[in-house]
Amino acid sequence: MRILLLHLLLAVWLMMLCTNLLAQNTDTTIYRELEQVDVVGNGKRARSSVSQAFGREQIKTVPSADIAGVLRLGNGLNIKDYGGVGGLKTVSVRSLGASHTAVEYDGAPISNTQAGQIDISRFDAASISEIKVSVGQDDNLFKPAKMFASGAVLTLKSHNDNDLDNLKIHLKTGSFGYFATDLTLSQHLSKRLIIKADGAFLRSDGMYKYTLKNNKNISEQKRHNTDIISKKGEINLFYNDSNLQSFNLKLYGYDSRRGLPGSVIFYNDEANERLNDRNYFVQGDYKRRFFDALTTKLLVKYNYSFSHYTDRNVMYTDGKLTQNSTQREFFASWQNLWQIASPLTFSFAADYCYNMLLSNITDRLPKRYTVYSAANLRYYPAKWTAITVGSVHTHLREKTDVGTHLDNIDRFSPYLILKFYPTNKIAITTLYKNTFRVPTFNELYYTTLGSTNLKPEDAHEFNFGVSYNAKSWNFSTDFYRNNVDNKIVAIPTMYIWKMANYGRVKITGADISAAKHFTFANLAVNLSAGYSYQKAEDVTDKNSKVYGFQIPYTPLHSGNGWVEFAYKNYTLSATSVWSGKRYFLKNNIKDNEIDPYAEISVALSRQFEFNGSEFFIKISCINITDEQYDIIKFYPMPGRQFQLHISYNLTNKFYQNEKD
Amino acid sequence: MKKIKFLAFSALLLSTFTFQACKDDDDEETKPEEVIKFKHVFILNEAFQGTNQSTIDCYYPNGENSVQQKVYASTNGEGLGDNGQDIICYGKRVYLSVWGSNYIAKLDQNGKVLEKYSFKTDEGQPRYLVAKDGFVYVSTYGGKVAKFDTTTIAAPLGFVEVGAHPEEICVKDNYLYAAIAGDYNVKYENKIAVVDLSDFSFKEHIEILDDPTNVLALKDKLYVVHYTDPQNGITEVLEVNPSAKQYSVYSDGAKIATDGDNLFVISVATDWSNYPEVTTVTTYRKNKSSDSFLDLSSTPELSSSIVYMFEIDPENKDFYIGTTDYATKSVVYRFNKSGKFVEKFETSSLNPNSAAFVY
Repeated sequence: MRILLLHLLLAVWLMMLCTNLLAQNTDTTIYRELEQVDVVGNGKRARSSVSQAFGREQIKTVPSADIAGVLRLGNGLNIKDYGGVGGLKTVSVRSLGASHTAVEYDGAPISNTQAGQIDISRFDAASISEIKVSVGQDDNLFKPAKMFASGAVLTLKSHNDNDLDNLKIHLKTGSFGYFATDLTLSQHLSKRLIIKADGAFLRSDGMYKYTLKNNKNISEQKRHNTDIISKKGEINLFYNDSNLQSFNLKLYGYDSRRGLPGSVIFYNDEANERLNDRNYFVQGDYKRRFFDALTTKLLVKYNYSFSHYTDRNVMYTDGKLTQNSTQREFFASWQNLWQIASPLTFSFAADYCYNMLLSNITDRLPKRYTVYSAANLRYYPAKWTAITVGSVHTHLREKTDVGTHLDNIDRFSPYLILKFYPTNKIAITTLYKNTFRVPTFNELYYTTLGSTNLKPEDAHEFNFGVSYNAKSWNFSTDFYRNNVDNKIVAIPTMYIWKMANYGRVKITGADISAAKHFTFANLAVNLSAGYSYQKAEDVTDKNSKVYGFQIPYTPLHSGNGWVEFAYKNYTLSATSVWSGKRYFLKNNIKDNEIDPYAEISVALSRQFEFNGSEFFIKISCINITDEQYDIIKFYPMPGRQFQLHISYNLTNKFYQNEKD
Repeated sequence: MKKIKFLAFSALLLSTFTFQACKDDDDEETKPEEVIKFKHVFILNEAFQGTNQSTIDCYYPNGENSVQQKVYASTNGEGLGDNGQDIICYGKRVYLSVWGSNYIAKLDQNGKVLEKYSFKTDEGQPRYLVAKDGFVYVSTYGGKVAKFDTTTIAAPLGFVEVGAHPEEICVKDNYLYAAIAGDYNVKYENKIAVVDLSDFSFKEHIEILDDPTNVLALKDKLYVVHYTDPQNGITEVLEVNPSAKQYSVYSDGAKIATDGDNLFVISVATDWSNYPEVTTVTTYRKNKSSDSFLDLSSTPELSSSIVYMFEIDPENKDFYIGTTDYATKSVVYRFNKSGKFVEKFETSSLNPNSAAFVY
């Protein structure tokens, strides 16, 4: 609390000191700070050195229909995918681990205090207009304080074309009983108030074939217990008073029922695990500008999530194992962005966060109270340089009904970003950030497995990168070193696995990417390729045999390629992702290897107008070569699959005409 | 959640070991012509759950340190699967129980599969094996003990209900004893189930202490390893008098084995609470003596190793001790009956848990 007050005092002091500067500010600078997006080059594929963004057009034309598939085209990202539509998908940036990636959806954090990592499989690409992954944090300083407290941030934005009144219908169908539909209706209720309602339904059988290799015995098998049905509904209200003030309200509901096929076990294909998830949240924010230079925002969110897991096996009492978990979160954030002077921007945010878990996997009933306070300063002393410095303080208190609990946490997470622009095409970025992740409720309290002795897991990130952005091509290369200390791992003991802070990882890596854009007569061509080198060494114990070994599930070499041809209304998009060998256990021996793979996908899409309505049709073939591979060992990925995507966009031109 | 559950499962599996040896009983199919030297020892490596990395290594105790790795895969062209749980030799045949992959198999002396039986959903996955009088008995997590005829294991002869999560089983006279650990998700059990083999029927429960996992019969007593503190992996040995249905605490200890006359106890005391300072003190005791029955002068590492397997060769009474570091390496050490170190070898996969001494 004292720290929060200090931050507040600092903010007030700075405010008073610079009152005389306030009048000088222009709309453009504050707009730049508010809306800053790293769109570079041709504007289609944005890549600066430490942040990567995928815009609506790319998400639309890319063969893959899910967010994870799009993110696999990013550099330095480890997308864990347990296969199939219902399979868990998480994002880890530069080997920090998925729990270090904060996820933001339409301005508010999505969290899972029980599991730590966020499953991104629930977000359908059709309703996402921008995906962005940033090392450290993105360039926007006007955010909840919590978003500065992680090693990496995944930002998802739903549709941003809110100023249009329209009706959108997406229909998707494909192999393995896949069918998804999304209906979005947006409507001006008055000149400044828009309502947007979105309903989505998805189903899939997911019973795909895979090739099972068991020594010399190679057989065709089929995944089963892979069905999923999910429903999503969203209602948004947007009020915008010509940049002076705005108000947003979102109601969100999600329900899914799925089978978990489990890992492939030789000679035993029994799989009876089921998982039902429900998630509801309501979030509202109010943003207002004062004196042109100061913008403040209040954000409030209440989140409820419930998961019901069952497994059937005669070994359980009454033949069934049931695990129910209810999580509640209340989140409030006060954000301020202050354009002190043209070259100087200050932001301050304070968040209050309450999390609780009620579950039969633990008798503890944990409650977590966290206050995040962040102060950031960005300074452009000259045209050729920019300095961003900041720190977020985490004040955490935990309570449990019985037994021990996590110790108090009061810590700063500082960062420094220096950017140099030797020319207007070249940007040099150096970044340092020190963050930590708090142990999850599962790691702390899961019956027998959890340990309340855990400390936070620390991450240090250093980055040096150069990017070159010209009109027709861009190039970027980054070198980085990350250290993860006090890594929380499961340690086998005589009877059970126990969670412990026993791990150090040293990650040395390089991300290189290049993109070229050109037109040839009516043909527009986009080419891009990325390569990542990640040496992620286990440096836990010098005397251990695994010292210096590559940590599990991290390829030394991986990359991607992307080719897009646009001719009139047609777009042909081909993507490839490839990965070198990985290990699925600590010991780097042949037996623990996962084979390298390359997956190639192709999509042809066409956009056209008919009777004043917009149509979009896409036919994609994912994994065209039917590559048989695993990302997670014994969770085979689907082979070749086809998808058809049709969307219909009926635009009401009425308001547009009125505006004119 | 899935992952966590997987860990919890693995947890249980990691705790197990067996000490079955070849019984040269009066099975007519397998009666040896003469008493010959051991041809080889099959070592079953459990590996981690979900990895399908369980293997069998063949060790030739001829003093030349010769080991043939992964004999199951090389003989059968396919791996044995996930979580091999127990292996025994009975007559000329080897019986194998594989928990994760849910089957038992009858192998010939070279490790070639002759027959396999996969358990049905309501029967439960197999745990431990014991053989007697031409029959093989298997405990299953369906709360049962299954009975098979050694001439063919294509179908079980019958099942008897014994209680939740039966672990190790042993046979003494005409009774089978099963350690009943209980469903760790709900409630530990504290029983030894007694099965009358004359009509293969459940006779009674003997109440002891919570969470027993291993049991062996020696003279007119049973010796049981149970967890006093499962969270911290602390175990002790109980001495049970089955006829009086009484028990007493014998000593601390994690692994037990017998040569037919004595009880050998290995205690593995590990302090898991203080990472990375994991300290293990391992002691080797005969009966209640505090002296080590092994001469560790040439293998000092054994005084701080995690012992996963403890077997005694039923013929020459050699000791086989399998260790693990749960990460990179498992080593099997062989000592002769007077406790002198003979040789050691690395296994092809982690966590060796049982051995079959094959004629």
